[in-house]
Amino acid sequence: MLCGLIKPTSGKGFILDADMIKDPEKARAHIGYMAQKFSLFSTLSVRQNLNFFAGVYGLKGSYKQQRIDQMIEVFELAKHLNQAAGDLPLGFKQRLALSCAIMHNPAILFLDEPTSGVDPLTRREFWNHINSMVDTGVTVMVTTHFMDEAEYCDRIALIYEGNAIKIGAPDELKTANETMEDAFIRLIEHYAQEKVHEDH
Amino acid sequence: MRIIKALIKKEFWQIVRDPSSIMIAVILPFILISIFATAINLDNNSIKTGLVIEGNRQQINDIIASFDGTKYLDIIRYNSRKEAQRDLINGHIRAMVVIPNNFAQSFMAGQSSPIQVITDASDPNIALFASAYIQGIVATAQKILLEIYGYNKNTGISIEQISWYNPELKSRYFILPNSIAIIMTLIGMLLTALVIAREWERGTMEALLTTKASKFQILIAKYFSYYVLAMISVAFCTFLSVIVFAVPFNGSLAVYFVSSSLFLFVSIGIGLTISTLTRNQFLAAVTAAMFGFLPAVVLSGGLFEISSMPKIIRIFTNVIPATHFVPVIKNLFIAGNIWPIIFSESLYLLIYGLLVFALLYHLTEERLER
Amino acid sequence: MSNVIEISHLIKKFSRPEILALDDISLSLEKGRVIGLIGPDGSGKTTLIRIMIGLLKPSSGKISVLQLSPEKQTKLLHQKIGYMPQKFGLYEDLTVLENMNLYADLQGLSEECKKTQFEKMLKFTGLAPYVHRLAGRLSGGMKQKLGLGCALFGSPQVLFLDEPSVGVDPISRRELMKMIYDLKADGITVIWSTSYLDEAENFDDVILLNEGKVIFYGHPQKLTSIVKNRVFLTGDASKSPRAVLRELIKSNAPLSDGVISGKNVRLVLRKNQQIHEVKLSPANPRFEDAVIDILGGMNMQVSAIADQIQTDYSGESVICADNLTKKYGDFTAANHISFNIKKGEIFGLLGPNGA
Repeated sequence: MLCGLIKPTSGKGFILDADMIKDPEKARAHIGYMAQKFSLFSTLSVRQNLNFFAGVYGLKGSYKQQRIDQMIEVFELAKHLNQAAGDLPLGFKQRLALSCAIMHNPAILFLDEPTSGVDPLTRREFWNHINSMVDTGVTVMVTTHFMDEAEYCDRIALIYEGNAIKIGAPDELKTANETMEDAFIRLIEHYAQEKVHEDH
Repeated sequence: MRIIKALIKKEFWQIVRDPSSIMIAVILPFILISIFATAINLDNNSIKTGLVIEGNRQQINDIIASFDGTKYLDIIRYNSRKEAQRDLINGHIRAMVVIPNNFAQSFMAGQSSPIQVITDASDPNIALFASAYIQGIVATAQKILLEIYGYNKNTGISIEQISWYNPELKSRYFILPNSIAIIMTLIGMLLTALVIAREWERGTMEALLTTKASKFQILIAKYFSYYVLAMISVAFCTFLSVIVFAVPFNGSLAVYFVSSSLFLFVSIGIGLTISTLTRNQFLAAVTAAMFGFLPAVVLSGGLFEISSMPKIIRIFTNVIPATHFVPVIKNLFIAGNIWPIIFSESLYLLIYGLLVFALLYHLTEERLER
Repeated sequence: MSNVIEISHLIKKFSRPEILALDDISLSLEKGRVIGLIGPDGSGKTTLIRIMIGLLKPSSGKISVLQLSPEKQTKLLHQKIGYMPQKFGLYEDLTVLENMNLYADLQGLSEECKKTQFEKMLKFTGLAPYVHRLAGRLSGGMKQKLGLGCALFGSPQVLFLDEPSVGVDPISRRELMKMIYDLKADGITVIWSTSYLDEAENFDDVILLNEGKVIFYGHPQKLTSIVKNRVFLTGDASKSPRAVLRELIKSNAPLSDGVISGKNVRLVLRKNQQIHEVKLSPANPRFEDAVIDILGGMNMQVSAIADQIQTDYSGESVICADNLTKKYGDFTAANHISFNIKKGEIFGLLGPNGA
């Protein structure tokens, strides 16, 4: 919804100064989006994917080339440039998807289940990149069902049955000696119980 | 048997729940047959036909009366062959019958006596109808004449038929059997090309392979389910054509049933083979369309005469199962049971189908890799 | 003999592309245990399971499962094992009951047997209210339970689960684990592959695969103990945990692992190394710490991405959601959700799948 891909039934949303309902185009220009399962073209080569997404985000001419070269360097894609994206090892697929999402220098990065099915080493490498970007001022919004991934966040909104049942820093959601998963289950069960009370 | 039954039940649920299979099995045939039926313009009970009598009318009054009495033809009398020909060229009439000068004499002399029929084959269906009706009328008239004038073994009326404009009579009429063959190919080949690939893609094949079910049972269940679906569709098509659109069917239903079954045996086998080889629904659909469906439409002899194709393509057409089904079904509708064709083509399809099944069985691995 | 699976010098090569999926594996797996098969992607977990159940042939080496050869006595073996493939192997266009009927029939259960097994399974999985729902319209957790239930028809002696937790919420994952331990009580041996390392701590034994080799086989705590006294938490109230971690990495601290955990950083020191730059407080080692350590530790490099990013926008609130609601018919996908996200913040939306 916040990416302007679907329209809300009611309510308001702003991305920087852009109203995502009235001006979704402008709002979207601030956003880089990396989808679950990495929306890459699996039959195109790495270079073709980079070119395509640079084009989609409206990059042109020498700047486009410069950005693509930067991405190749930063994510060490040079060795795989002519390989089909679908044949890449998972870690590289993830790097490529990330580079496609940030090519246009977005202020905000949306990550939708970015490390679903990714092993812990690859996941660390991914978050290493994300953390570096955040340090420079990029804002990241991430959806996840990995509890330890939630620990990487400054704040979490716990969503259950369409409701944000709790928003806060990870350490605020947990009580002492609780893992994130324990906290998650406790909060959801608590919420479900309260709902039952309300219904009666 | 219980395992096959369980698998068949499963296939049927999947077919019933998949709107695209219902679409292809029922709605598409309805559309195809309807288009075909309206395209051939079935207002055949008033085909304008010219009648030219060159000789003495008195002796052949019975023939003339037969023509006048028919409700299928709208008879217009002409005094000369020339006038009638002009109107045929103009398109005022669709066919003309000429009873020549010496007809009566030769008939009464107990000889074979010709009647000339010229049809406007630019609309082949109408031409076909017209000549069929004329034949019918002549046959009735001949019976009456023979009763009056006595029987001699040479006596009889022969019809010299000439088609103008389109002497080969490459008829849209033949689209009917071909369209049924196309519908059967769609179900037999396109739908089945998806089903094994789908099992691989969704990971259900892995689950099936670790049950008691053998690959033979899995295959038989698929053959049977899609065979039944296709046969329902064939019955529906035939009902539409014969009952609703009054297209003649002259052959035997039993032969029709057997030859359709054999044709489906081959088609389903090819579809499943494609599915097994690709293990990918998209690829399977494209392959089936390219190598199964399109050739069935273009090269089976339904739309284009095989004899007029280049030799290489002519040889290739033998690989297409529809090539060996279209002649049978065409004859069943138009001419009736032509046994030599039925036997040779059915035998071909049977052997072809068995070979495909053997290949498919060989290709179907009970393991994940090949 | 109490070993259900015996493997010796098992090698599996694939051609096109040429991959050595399993590289000289020897294992003896004990009966009646819940055994976790873990490892990074492409480490050979799925390949190993598929060889064990006869869906793949080994290139060389020996394997026996329940004293049967999966390669040669495949069908015989299939009557004694249950298998739930990735994505659960369900027909999404069949209802729950139709799936159950299919798999029960395919395992050759008699009608009587079906009745008792169905009753037991529905009670066990809690799927009774959903028997007429299409499997495709079940949640991930329910699909998983149905898949498990179907794999259990025919009362297998060994149950193989390939990545049963992918796409399933934590509550359902816990339920599954509980169900599996109930099965274990009945004497079933369970082989369970997973990429969720937090699950691994619950297994009786784990097999850790990496690049087709067995790196570790044994009780998970035995593996965890290799990082004993090397796991610490550190934090600095004046700095963000990201900054703390970045500085540690920049200073080439001898770390095997470093991850952010709320406002702290969780560190695993390399063997016999010390850090003096920051204040460390000891933490309980986790299984994942040990896995990362035994796999050689994470890549300790600062990402070069920071140099390529320009953030030339200002403003405190970057994303502002105000009472956002999205309804699909009767279904409310989002109900009056409001939040503000500040610049340079990582904001997580955490929920079960489809939340």
